[in-house]
Amino acid sequence: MPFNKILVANRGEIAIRIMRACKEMGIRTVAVYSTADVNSMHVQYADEAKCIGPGDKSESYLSLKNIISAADITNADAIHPGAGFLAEVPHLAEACRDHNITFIGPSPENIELMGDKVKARQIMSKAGIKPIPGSKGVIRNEKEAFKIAYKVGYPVVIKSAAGGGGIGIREAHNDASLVNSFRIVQGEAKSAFGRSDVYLEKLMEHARHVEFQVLADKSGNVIHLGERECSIQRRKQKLIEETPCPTISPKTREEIGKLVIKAMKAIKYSSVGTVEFLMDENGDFYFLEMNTRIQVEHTITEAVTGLDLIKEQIRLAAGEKLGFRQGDVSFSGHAIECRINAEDPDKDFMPSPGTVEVFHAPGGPGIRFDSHIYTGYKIPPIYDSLIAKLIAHGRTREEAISRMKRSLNELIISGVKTTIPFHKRMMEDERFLRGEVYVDYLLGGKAP
Amino acid sequence: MAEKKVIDLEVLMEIIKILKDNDLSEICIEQNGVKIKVKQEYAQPVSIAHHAVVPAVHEEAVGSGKEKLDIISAPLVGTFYRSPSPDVEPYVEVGDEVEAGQVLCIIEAMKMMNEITADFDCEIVEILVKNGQQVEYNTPLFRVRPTS
Repeated sequence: MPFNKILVANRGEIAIRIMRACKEMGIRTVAVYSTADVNSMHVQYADEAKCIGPGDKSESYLSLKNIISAADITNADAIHPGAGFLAEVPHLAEACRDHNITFIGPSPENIELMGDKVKARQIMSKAGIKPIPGSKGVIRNEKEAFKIAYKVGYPVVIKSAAGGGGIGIREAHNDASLVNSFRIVQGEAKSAFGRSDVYLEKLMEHARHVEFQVLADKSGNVIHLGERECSIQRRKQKLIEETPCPTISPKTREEIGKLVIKAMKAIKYSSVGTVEFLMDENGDFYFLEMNTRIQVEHTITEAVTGLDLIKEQIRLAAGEKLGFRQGDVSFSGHAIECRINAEDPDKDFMPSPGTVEVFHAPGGPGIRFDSHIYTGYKIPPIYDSLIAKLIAHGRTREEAISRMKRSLNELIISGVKTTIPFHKRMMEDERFLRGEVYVDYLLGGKAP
Repeated sequence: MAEKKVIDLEVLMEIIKILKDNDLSEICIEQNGVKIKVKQEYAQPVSIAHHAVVPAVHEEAVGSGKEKLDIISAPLVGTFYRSPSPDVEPYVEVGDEVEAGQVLCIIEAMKMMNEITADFDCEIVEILVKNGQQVEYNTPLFRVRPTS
């Protein structure tokens, strides 16, 4: 048993996901929660729970001192940050190091490096992975911005060097909007992340978002677990993910996989991570960014590889070696995930918090359902809207789709609006059925 | 498998008698994994709480009636201490009148001693946690009677 007790510094379905792995490994769990989450399932699921602050996440789920203190008083020997919150800033990883608690994730140096999007582009470029065409470094002024915009051609996108997940990012389709976007992003970046550093990339509109899952131990062994196609997004938030990507050949998978491994070894990466790309219509891969944590959609990789990524992450954090080689990884069938959010898809995905009146989970072959909701649960309005993940696995893409259709019809969540109707429509959408998915799928009135 | 703990009623009656005869407000006895606490409030029936030994001990104290009592709760996660160091007098005792800004206790978090102060003038009616007890956000620490 790698650890005696793990504190899960997160909430919702991902907290339960992590605790499930801990339970199976005989590791005791500590939940932390805000006063707004006192009735949340993860609080009940854990062996112990500590209230760490009010609903405002800056004083609870982002409160480094309360989280470390909770680990201290419960004698937790490791902290799993989950996804979001403190997972992708170096502070929690650093604080763990200072307090002799194992952080279940990469080193603070890795987190910081990949968290700086400009540095990440530079490092990946050195390792042979082309970044999206754009600025080599930080853009200091409008003159530089124009220069690079002309070089790569409009439309372009201005992004904050820090952060991610859709914050501090603006498009510009011409000179006039470039100045505006440049200033706005600088301002947003300064206020959200404390630094106004921005960079510029060509806006690849009709591209596919393809990401590679990596797994690395602390001894320099790295493997990849294939790719995930995540193009169906709204405002940079993924809605549907699938693996394998319907248009990638085994040869391409092997090539990009090798490049990714090389890059991970170069930066001495450890734990799980995801290297994200945009793939253009020629099938060329351009580095977008890297996420140094477990991702929501890790589930579909688990379905096709048979691995438990959280268990692997925990083992690796304890210093265990990978224990298997790239050649030992095999992929079976096709898996799709639909993110069920408490949002109204007919009102531009407006958040729809409220009380879950009736909840009935789907089942049957090839179906996995990860959620923290229950009948009578009050979905708090102050946290993200993800309330469940529905994963369908089949021997073929067609079987996965038919299982997803079937289980979407079995799934009942009433009392709040959800994205279930949207997913049902997508599973009938002709372009989706043909595998023609791109990041601009839901834009310009093309949504089903 | 732990054997079920049974309250010996005769022992309990003895305890209540000792309490009343000596006009005590509270007796707490701990033996063999069983903890019994008996309290007497003014002009109220005796309230009895029985617990196996567990860290957090909170019983519903019966207030003497009409005035509004407030609770001062922990604003952070850590370990509660009544005094700045083990050999020093506690910051406050029951019955003390404190001023706004006065230090009530320490909560130690990550090796740092955080002084917890009163937000308003009040009298300490009850201390709800024990010295060295672990507290989380919103754990009730003191029951107080505002005096201003």
